[in-house]
Amino acid sequence: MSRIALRQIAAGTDAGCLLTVEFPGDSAGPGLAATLAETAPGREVWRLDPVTTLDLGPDLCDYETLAARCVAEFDRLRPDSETALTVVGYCSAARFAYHVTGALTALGYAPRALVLVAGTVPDERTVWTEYDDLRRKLGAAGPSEPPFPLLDDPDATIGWLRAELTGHARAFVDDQDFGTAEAGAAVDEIVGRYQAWLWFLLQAVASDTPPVGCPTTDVADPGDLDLDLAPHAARHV
Amino acid sequence: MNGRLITPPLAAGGRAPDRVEFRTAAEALATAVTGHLEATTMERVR
Repeated sequence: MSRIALRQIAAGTDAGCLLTVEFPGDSAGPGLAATLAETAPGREVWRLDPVTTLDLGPDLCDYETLAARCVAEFDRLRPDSETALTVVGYCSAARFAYHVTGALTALGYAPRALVLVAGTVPDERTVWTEYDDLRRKLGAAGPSEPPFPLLDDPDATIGWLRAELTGHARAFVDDQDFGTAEAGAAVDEIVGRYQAWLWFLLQAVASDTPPVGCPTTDVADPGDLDLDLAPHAARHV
Repeated sequence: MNGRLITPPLAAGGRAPDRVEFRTAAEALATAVTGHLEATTMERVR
């Protein structure tokens, strides 16, 4: 089903450039953009990674600002190119893909369609589960529950999560007899990456789904996807 | 473009690293050897 759907996306005569919104370094899949590139010979395919953009950016920002930042980079890299394009959002980047589509329109692009592949909408429990998963992997024991509502103050929440993860990661490094200064830098980088990921999820919960001026299609549920997701099909992000 | 060495905290199937992966990632960063991901904000796939 999904191979056919992806082929249809890729082969659409009016689809224009294909822009995927996904997490290529983090996803369970091999990369939606790569799959589309294989499926659609001759079509221009770009990939946007919002979590890396957040991680490398000057600040943690809301979806609207992040989308504008991403689209400005896209525009800078392909000046004077065709404005027709199709936005493809993967999994928990689905809601953000709406914002990207809106930002493209605001910049003069003409999105032909917004396609959501296995789109999901994270909730507060998703944020906590992702945090708790890493916490446990770093050796923290016992059950845990959010000490406060995570959405009341996202800035305070992300600060608390970062401090907690940094503590767990440093304890883990010490426990592994790997307590060099370089390891400390690695801890900071890992925690920074996770902070960006958790912030992205927090914003997905806090954000609305803005209207877009093009057709929106939900391609498939995760079980239908033929993206070589196994054995982690239940945990794609 | 905007690339840097990045450890893969979620890389192996969208999940948190286990102890071995974490240590491997930390060692990779610490020694600046090859084998880690280069994260990019935006790239042309084709």
